[in-house]
Order: sequence, then C-alpha cells, then structure tokens
Amino acid sequence: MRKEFKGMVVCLGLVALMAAGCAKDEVVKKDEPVVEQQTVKQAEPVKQAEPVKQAEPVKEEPKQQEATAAKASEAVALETVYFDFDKSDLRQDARDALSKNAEALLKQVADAKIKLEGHCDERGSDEYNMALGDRRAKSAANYLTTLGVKADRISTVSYGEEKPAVQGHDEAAWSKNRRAEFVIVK
Amino acid sequence: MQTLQRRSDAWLGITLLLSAMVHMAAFLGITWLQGLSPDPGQLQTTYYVDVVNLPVASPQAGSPTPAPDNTDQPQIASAPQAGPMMTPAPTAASDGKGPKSDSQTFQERMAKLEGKAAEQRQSAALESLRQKVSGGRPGMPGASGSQTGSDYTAYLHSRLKDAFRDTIQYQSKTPFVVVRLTIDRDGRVMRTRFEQSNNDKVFEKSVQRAIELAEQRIVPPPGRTTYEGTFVFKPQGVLQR
Amino acid sequence: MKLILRMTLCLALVGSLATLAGSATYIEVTAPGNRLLKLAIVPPQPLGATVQPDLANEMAEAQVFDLTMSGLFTAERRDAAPLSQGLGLSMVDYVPWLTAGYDLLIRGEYVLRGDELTVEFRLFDVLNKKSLLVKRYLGHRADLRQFAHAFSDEVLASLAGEKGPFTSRIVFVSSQSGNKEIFLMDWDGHNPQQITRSGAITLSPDISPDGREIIFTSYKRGNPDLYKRALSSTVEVPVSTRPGVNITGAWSPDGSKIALALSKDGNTELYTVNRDGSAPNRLTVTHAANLSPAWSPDGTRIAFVSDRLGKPHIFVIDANGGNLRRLTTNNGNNFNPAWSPKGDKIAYTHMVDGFQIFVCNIDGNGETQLTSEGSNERPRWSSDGRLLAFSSKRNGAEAIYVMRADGSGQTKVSRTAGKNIHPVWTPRRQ
Repeated sequence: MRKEFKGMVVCLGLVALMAAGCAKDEVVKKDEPVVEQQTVKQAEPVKQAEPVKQAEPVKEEPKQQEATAAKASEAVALETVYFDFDKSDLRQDARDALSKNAEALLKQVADAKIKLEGHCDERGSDEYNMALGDRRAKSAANYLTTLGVKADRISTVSYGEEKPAVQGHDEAAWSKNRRAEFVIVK
Repeated sequence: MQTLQRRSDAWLGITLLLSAMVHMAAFLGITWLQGLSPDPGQLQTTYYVDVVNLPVASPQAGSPTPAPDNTDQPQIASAPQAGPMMTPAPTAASDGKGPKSDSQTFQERMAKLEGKAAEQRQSAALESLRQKVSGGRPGMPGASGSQTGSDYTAYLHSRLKDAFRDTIQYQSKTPFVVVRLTIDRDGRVMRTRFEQSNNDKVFEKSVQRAIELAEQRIVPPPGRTTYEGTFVFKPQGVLQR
Repeated sequence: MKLILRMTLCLALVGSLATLAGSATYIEVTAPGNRLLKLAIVPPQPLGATVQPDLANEMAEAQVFDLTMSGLFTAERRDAAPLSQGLGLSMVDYVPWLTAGYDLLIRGEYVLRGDELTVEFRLFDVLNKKSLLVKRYLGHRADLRQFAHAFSDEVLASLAGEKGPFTSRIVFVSSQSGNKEIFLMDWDGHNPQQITRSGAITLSPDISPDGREIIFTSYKRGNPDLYKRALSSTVEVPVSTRPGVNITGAWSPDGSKIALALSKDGNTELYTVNRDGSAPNRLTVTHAANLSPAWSPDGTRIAFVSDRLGKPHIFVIDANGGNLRRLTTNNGNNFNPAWSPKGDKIAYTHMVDGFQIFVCNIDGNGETQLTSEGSNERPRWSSDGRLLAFSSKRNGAEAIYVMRADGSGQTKVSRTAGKNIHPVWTPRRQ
C-alpha cells in the first residue's frame, strides 16, 4: 500500500513540475532589448536639441493666453524634458533640466503655477500613448516636488501623440516628441 | 475477473495503476470511436424492396433482409456506390409492371428473389470474412462493404449527393447536419427534420437547398409507401462525427 | 476498494461496448469543397413614367459590394431586359441564368414620384426555380442606398440565418475639418457626416448598444475628459472629468455601464462607472497603465491593455475585477482589443512591421495575422462578426478600411479627407 502511495505522489509531483514549467515561461517575458539600444543612440540627438529647445518656450509664451496676463518675470526659460521610447523614468539629462527648472520656479517665479504636458512619439497606439504621456508628466512633476516645488503649484495633462513638437517619422523627430513641456498658467 | 482476491502483494499497486491506465485508454478509445458516428436517434428502418423492379447499385447492396440479430452486431454503415442508380429511367418500368403482375410472373420473381437471397448470404459471408482479415473498424462511417439499407435509400442518396454538389456551402471548419427525411407515397418530401447540426446556418441552408433540388427529380418510394431515412450531410474529407 | 475500482472500470468498458453496438446505420451524403454561390444582381427596373438608370445602378452597386463582402457569394451586376409584366406578374425565366452558371438572382422594381421612392427587391433561387425573398421599401430618394443595404441584410438572413451588417454605420474620428472630430458614415463610406464640432482634439468614440448615443474623449476643456451625446442632438454631457486622463470609454453590452481608464489616483487604471459617470468601481490595481477595455458580448468579462509586465499585452478580467489572466503570449506591444460579437475571438493590434491586426481565440491560442500591407490599427467587429473595420496607413493618410473576419477583401471605405481613425460599427438599423 505504501509503495502505491509513493508512486502516486511521484506521479503527481511530475505533473506539478510540468505545469510549473509552463507557467514560468509566460511570466518571465518582459525584457525590452529594443529600448536598451535606443537609450544609447538617443543620447546625442537629444543633447543637440536642447539649445534649440531652450529658446522655444520664450517664443511660445505670447501664445499662451494665460501667460499674457502674468508678470514679466515669467519670461523665464523652463527646459523641456525628454524621455526614452516607451519610458517615463527620468534620464540624467532630464534630472539636470528639472533641477534647473526647479531652481527657476523657486527663485525667479516663486508665485507661478505651472502645467506639465506629457507627450509621446507617434509610435505605439494613440490610446496607450495617452497613458504614457500622463505618466511622463507625473514623473517630471514628482521629481519637481522632491526638489522643493510645492505640489499644489503643479498640474499635469497628457496629450499622448496628438501634439508632436516636430513632424517627421524618424528617430530624430521621435526623440524630440517624447517629452514633458512646462507651461506657466498663472 | 474470477481471480479477484485480496492479497497484500507489493506489486499490486503498480499492476492496479497499469490496469487502470490500460482500461482508461481502452475506454477513451472506444468512446472516441463512438464519437465518430452520430447517434441518429433511431435505427434506420429497413424497407421491403422489390429487387427485380428497382434499379440496383450493386447486387450486394440489394438485400433488404437483415439478419434478426442485426442490431446487436456492429454494422458497416456505408455510402453505397453511386453508379447506374443515377438514372431514374427504370422506375418507369416499375410503374408499368406493377398492375399487370399475375401469379406466374409473381412465381418467377419469387424464384429470382430466392436466388438473389442465396447469393447474398454467400457474399455477406465473404464480406464478413474480408472484414476480419482487413480489420475493418465496426461503426466507421463511409467504410466500403455491405449496405443493409433499402435500395430506395441508395437511390435517394445518389440524388441527394448530386444535388448537394451544386449547393454545398459552409462557414465553419467541420460542418455536419443529420437530417431525417420523410418522403410521401408520391415522392414529395413530406418532412425534413434537422436532428443534429453543428449550427452552421449557411451549411444547413445549403443542405436544405440540396434536398429541394433533389426533390424535383426523385420518384416515389417502392410500393407507394411512405419512406423515412436519416442522412448525414458533410463536406468530403471532413472526418469529424 | 481496488476491487470496486476495477469493477467500475470493467463496467464502463462493457457499457461503452454496448452503446457502440447500438449505434446504427446512417447514410452519409458528401460533396467536395465549399462553394461560393454565384449571384446576379439586376438593377431594379422602373415601374411608371420616371426612369432613372443612375438610381437603379447605384442600388445594384451597393448590393454587389455588400454581398461580395459577406464572403458567401461572388456577386455581379448583370443587366437584363425588363420583365414585361412587371416584377409581380411576370414569370422569371430561370434557364438563361442557370446556363450562365448563376445560383441566385436579385431583381427589383422602383417607382419614383417626385421625391418619394418605393423599391421592391426579390431574391430568386435559380437552381430551385423559386422566389426566396420579397421586400418592399418606402421612403425618399435619399434613402435609396439604405434600401439596397436593408435588402442585403435580408439576403444574409435568408441564406445564412442571420441578418447582415449592411445597414450599420461606422462612427469614426476624422481630421477633415482641421482637428480630430467624430464623424459618421454608412458602412461602405457613403453619406459621411460630421457629428462633433468642438474645435478640440476628440478621440475614441464608442456607441451605445441601442445605437442612439456616443461617448468619446475630448480636450474641449483642456483635459482629456469623457463626454456623452445623442447622435440626434448637439448637447454634450460630461460623463467623467476626473483629474488625469478619462479615456477609452466602452459601453457595456447591456448599456448600463461604461468601462474606461482613469489616472485620477496616479497611474492609469481600469474602472467601470454608471452610464452617467457615477459610482466608479476600480478593476485593476497596478503600478502600470491599464486601458482600452473591450467587453465580452455577455458583459461578464473585459479584455484590456496593460503594460504591467513591461511591454503592453492584452489581459482579460472579470467585469467585477476578479479572475485576471493574460491573453497574448507574443513578444508584446499589443493594443486595441475587440471582442467578437459571437464571443469566440478577440481581435487586436500587434506591433510587427508597423502595426498589424491579429485575432486569437479567447484562451489566447490560435493567433492569426490578418493584415500585412502598410500599418493597420484598431480593429472593430461588425454586429454579425462577419466583418472588421480598422484604420490603415497604406496609401498616404490613415483611412478606414473593412475586411472579412478572415482578413480577405481589405477595402478602403472612408471618403473623408485627412486622417481617419478609430472606427466603431453602430448596431444595424432596424
């Protein structure tokens, strides 16, 4: 009798092992080799883009109707922050830019409220990009609050892939579209 | 079964496990086999057929008299060969002969029938031998062999098959329809009952159109009786049910 | 114990043998192959004084497209001499159609008095030499395509047991007017009309099961909020204006709930709300994005997109939030799930050579690629599950295409300029 039970236990064990083997296979697939490659490649175009970008918010400001009513001190340049493909975590250059922005927000325009707009490149489904843009804006906003900017001064909005900064269907364009922009609202 | 006795043999567990597996396999195998053939609900009714007057597909297929223990044996259900049956012409002869048959012609026909029956018994025996040798699986649809249905069934089958060729259409992978057809004494389709189906409406419609098309050309059942038969429609080469 | 087990097994064996012996004879009727029925469509003939060949031809062409796309027929427009006694009294001569190899025939008759149009269509079974279907439609000249589609629906009902989707329309997003707005068109792209005129980005429409109301996401107040409006009205009612995104609204099959994605609590999570936006019930709890819900036809389950494993995959969850499981097992980047109306398949977009449309069974097996030309997104099923609409970027700007559920017959239908995306079928018109 005991041997029989042993046999059954062994059988059951084998079946369980097989099942476990199958299940594991599914869970493990979540690496992203594509993104790793892009991180390396993108470092350069983004750096080049920044000087250009720095001037832009100044030019855009007259367009913002809320901004026209604001003080002259708001003509401060808040740098746009850039992201990797399908990522919302902050690269080192993004942290540097946010540190500068935080300094400006704490000293130069200490009373201004800002809106952070999250954007994506055209790849990925447009609906998924709405969520990604939301995550990017919130990721930048969270970093600002850790640098001392009060959370009630910051609001976020996601535009997904609906408002690209640059038209184009290559990595040069895409890297400039994966961004979080600052808009002074008050 | 008779050696069942309680023993505390160490191997008993293993043999039990093995036997359980073998039995399970056999059981599954048989249920699978069974699954191949749909349950038509009732037995195919066998009709008396005047062999002399009706067109015959093949002499073997003409026997209208199954053995009494027929139902207990696995039968070979086969699609009879559509051959010379396809011409409805001989039926005109049957209509003409019917009324004027006197006792003499009746005797002749009885003699012929008896001869046929003897011939059939022989060929049936041969057939069963052949089956044993070739290991034909009982209950398999479409196997070649002795069709125990009536000739009118074979005749209808060839009509339906012809019509079905023109209408067949389906949208599922393995469509099938089991239809019980009732044909009245005038050769009109009195009732078409879909007994089983995989619910492919397009296929059902194509079967219905095939039956309508076949109806235009069929002759009345022998002896002016009502005929009832069950047919399974499916595309060629489809092996389910 | 062992004895009982053995005896049970033996009994089972004997029992199955007995039933096997009981299985009786049946006759198998087979035919080779699957036929594509040949259907001739004769433009309806005029009855009365007003003769308008354009009108008749337009109806015939609409039916040719409908019934060809059904996948059951090769439909051709064929001209024939008018029946001298009119449709009602003449005997149709089947022989020429039979010899020309046709299985089915549609003929019709119309009367046009001023703007009033009456059309009668008849479907004939050439093989069986009988009439299968007679329908008469009364209305206005502008309805003529609707009449043609309505009869196509009936032809499918007659020959396939279920009405066709050809009186359905397609709600979609078009940038024809400059920014993205909601539009509506016939399923074959005719009669496009603009619905929203918000001047702001408008996205992701879905239609209520009764076909009367749409929900959509609009930026008209600066934030992506969910709105609702009746197709017959211009009043847009906010349904969900919570902070963060209020996107990818999907009406439940019974119309009582809306599933949507909200990021009010941080990341984007799946919720159901009542049709007025109240009583949010959170379905997912992750640190990832969860969005694009698609209800099963029985309303018990929801397929959606989540990147909780890194890359976006399709998952399935019970409508009350339990019983989560992953559907797609490919290398990721799957979007836009759509549950087939029969409940047996899920169509979705997978990123491979751009975007392509795939279907799989609801257990995740049987993944099949349906598109390969250009980049194709956002499949949506027609009410009968025979067709899929999707957006495709294959010849210039994105346009709405339709195809059969097996991927065949991919045809551009949208005629509006600009980008045309996010197609959704309306229920068929009754």
